[in-house]
Amino acid sequence: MSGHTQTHYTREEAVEYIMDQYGESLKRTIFTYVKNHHTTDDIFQDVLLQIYRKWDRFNGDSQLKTWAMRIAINRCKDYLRSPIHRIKIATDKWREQKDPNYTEQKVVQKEQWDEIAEAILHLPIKYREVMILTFQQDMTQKQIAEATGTPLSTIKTRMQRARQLLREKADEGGIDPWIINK
Amino acid sequence: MDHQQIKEAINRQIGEDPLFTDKDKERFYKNKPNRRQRFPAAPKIVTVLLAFFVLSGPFYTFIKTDWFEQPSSPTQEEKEPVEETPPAPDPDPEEPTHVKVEKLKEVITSIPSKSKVKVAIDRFHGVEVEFEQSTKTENGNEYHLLESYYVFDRHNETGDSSAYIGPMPPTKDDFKRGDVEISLKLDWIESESHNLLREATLLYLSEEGDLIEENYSRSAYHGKFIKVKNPNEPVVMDDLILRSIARSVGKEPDNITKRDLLYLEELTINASHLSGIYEVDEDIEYFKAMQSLFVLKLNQAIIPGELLKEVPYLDQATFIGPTVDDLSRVKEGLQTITYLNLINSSFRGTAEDILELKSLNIVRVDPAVVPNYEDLQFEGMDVRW
Repeated sequence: MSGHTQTHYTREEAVEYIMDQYGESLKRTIFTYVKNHHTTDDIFQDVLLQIYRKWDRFNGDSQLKTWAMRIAINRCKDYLRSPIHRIKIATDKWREQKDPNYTEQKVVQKEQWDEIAEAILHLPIKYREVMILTFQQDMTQKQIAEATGTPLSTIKTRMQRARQLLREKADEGGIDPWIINK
Repeated sequence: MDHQQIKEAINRQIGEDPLFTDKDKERFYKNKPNRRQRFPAAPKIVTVLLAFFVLSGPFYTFIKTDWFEQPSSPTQEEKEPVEETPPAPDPDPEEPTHVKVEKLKEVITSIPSKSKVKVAIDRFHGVEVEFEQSTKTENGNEYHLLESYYVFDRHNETGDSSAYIGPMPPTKDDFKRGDVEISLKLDWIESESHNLLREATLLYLSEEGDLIEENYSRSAYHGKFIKVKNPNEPVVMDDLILRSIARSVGKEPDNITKRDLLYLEELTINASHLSGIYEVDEDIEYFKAMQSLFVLKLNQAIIPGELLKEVPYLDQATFIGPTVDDLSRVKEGLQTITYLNLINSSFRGTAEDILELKSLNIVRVDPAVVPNYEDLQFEGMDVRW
């Protein structure tokens, strides 16, 4: 549906296509913002409804995935700013919301990559999002700028700062600094 | 950092099992707004209003009728109902062509409905000259494609008919004689739920007397018009580049026109059979015309940066052979590309050279020849080999 053929789709077909092609990516990205599976499910539904309602406004300027991702990111940020989230965060622990198999799995794998991924997920949101969108969603800096509505130069700076924070984390111990500089 | 390892680790952190399941789909379809039920009272209100109009018509006629007057002419009563459109301001007959063109372009790029386009065409007394319908099936859905040709004639002040009746598109002589001021071709995709303007092509004479073709495609060129001067003019270029263009557009080299350059999307120049490097040195106007060119592959050939920079939407470039030891000769023309393939080139430059390409996201380069390639990754560039 990218590029030249997206104009052929009705809003129902567009949502169906987005669910099939990008549903998993969108949900994983949403999760990295809200860190809660139930909230991820709810926000994902909101995102699908917004895509359904706004389909007429998709003019093909950006790639479909970037456009859908932008809606998801904005919805996540709205949620993080909301009073409901602020109340929830006091009682909700990110570790408790993880995959139940994770602890056992981690014992087995206990790799540096897992440590660094965990460190990324604990970065402040603006640094976390550039790292997640780069590494987990394979988005280019230009696409991230488009999806987050942030200037490209800011994205580049945030990327550098994110790496710097990870290096600091490595200096504190727990992560092999080599892996960040690699 | 290793991209794939990080990606896998982040995904492990989020969870190994898929987050997106059929339950998400079911939940969406269950909660999806039913557009027809957004205002449940609407059908009732429509029925009441309809009844009111049906009954009030005869009543009004009854009280207004002069029962002693002769009946009016049937032709007056059988006028076709006119589609309700906002009142259009009177057009200025002296309005220059380029102003009218800009106004039409504004409507075309606004993702218009059919009625909005009709209002704009009527305002300038445009007349439909030809149309062609076809049907296309894609993914099990049927779409109707409609191509409509319109002409705008400065002397046609009513919009009822035009002196010009075809063939379309009109020639430069038709414009020069004044038979046509502007010609417009619209491509619509029609489905049950909505109509979309897919493509539009305008032809008109510039003040300098050149025939100008402008094309808009909803899914390309960043939503902007691309433009070429004298589209039917034959292209005179060196044999190898002309044959390369001809291969791309599927025409004979002798028949290549400037219109072909406008719609040329990919260009591969393979000069590997020559003993030296093939250097392209052609009229800059031809490169200005290449406004759809997206992908460029040069094998033992080079196009200097000062020509390449005229290609506005170049996105991907591949260099093969001994043409770019560094990027100094071409970088000026590669500022729009997002993908650069140097893997089979003679490139021996540095990461800094590559970082000078401001839009670049993906580069294929041999890490053995760019020792500081990590700098590219540090800047968020995807480095592949």
